[in-house]
Amino acid sequence: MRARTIDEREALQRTAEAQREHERHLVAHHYEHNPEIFRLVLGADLLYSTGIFAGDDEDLDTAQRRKLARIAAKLDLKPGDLLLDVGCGWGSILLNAAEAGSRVFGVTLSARQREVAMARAAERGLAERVRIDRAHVEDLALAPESVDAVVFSGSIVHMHNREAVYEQIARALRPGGRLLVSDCFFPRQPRGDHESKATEYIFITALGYCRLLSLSEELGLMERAGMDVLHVEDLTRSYVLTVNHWIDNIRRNRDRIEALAPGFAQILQTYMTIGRLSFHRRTALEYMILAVKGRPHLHVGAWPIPGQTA
Amino acid sequence: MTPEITATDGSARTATDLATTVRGILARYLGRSVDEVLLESRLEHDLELDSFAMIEITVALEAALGFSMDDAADPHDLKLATVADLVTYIDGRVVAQRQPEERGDASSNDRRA
Repeated sequence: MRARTIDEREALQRTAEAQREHERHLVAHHYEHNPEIFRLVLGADLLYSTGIFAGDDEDLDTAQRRKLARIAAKLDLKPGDLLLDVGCGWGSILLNAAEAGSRVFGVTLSARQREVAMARAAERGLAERVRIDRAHVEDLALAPESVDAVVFSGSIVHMHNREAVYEQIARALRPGGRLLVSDCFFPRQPRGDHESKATEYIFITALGYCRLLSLSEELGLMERAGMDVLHVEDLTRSYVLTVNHWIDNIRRNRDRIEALAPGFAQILQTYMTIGRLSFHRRTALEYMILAVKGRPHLHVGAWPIPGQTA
Repeated sequence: MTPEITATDGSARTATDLATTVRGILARYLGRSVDEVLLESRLEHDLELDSFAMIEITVALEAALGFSMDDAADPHDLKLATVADLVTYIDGRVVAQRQPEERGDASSNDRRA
C-alpha cells in the first residue's frame, strides 16, 4: 500500500514502537483540550464523529442520537456481552452500551478524556460496568476470543499500523463477534491534492497524526485479518451537515473557547472548514463499516430501506 | 461593530473602515505592510493566496468582524478575485446577518447580499 501523504511517508521510516510513541503524544494533544470546549462545539452527546442525518434540516442532537441507536443496532450486544471501544473519547458510545446492560472496556490516549468518561459513568450509576484505560490499542493484551464487539468511531485514522490492529482485533473477537468502524477515507482514485498544505493542516497541525486509506483498502485489511464485511454505508453527506453544525457552534461560542484556549477556535474552525469542503467535494469520504468474525447472528436483510419492503 | 455602520449616510465611511480592517488582517497574515495590500490587489495573482490561505484568512476575518461565510457555497463559486471583492462580499454578509433591530431602515436592508 503506497503512502499518500508526507506524514505517512515519515511514519514508514519509523519503527512500529516509535510510531506508537508518536501517536501517543501527537494524537492525544488535541483531545487533551478542556472538555468544555468540545461540549460547546460537539453538543451535549460529545460525539466527535459524524451524526446520521435523514434530512438536511435536522438538528445535530437528532443526528447524533440516531448515530448512537444505529451503532447499538449494528453491534447487537446482548446483556453481559463485552464491548471494546478503541478511541472511546469522552465515553458516549460506551455509556450507551453499558446502560443497555453490556460490560464495556474503553481505551483512549487522552488522560483528560478518560477522566471525563469515568465521571460520566459514575453520574449515570454505571461505574461498575465500565473500565477505561489510557492506552494505545497495540499495547493491549487481549485474550483470544474474549470480546463480543469492537467499535472504532472516528479513531482508526489515528492508527498507522492498521494491519496489526485488525489482526489483534480479529484474534480478540469471539466467533460471531462484530467490528464497527466509522471514519474518513480517501477515494480510491486520487481526487484532491494529498500533499497540500490543507491536508497537512488537518492531519498534523490540528489532529497530530492521521492516515486515511481508501474504503477498499480498509475492507481488504479487515478481510485479510479473517473478518467478513457485513454492511457499509456512506455517511459523507451526513458529515458535511455535522461539520456545518460544529462550525456554527464555534461561531456562537468563539469568545468562550478563546478564553479557555487562546487560538484553538481558529485551529478548530480552519480544519473543520477544510474538512467540510473536502467532504462536500467528495475528495474525502465518510463510511460506517460493519464486519463480523465467523457466522453473523444479525439478520442484515431485515434492515429496512424505504421502498424495499415485501 | 459600531451602530453607524447601518446609517444610510455613513456607508462610505463604513466601507472604508471595513476595507481598512480587511487589508490589515491580510497584511498581518502575509507579513507585509498594509500599503502593499490594496483594494485592487488580486488575492491569488498579486498576494499569492491559495485556497488554504483563503480559509485561514476568512476564519480570522469572521472572528474579527462577527459575520459568517456562506457554508453552503464552494469558495471558488464566490468568485472573489480582488481585495475589493472580498470587502464587498463581507459587507453584504455583515449587513444580512445583523439582528433586525440593529439593521436600521429599509435602505440599509437593500444592501443585503
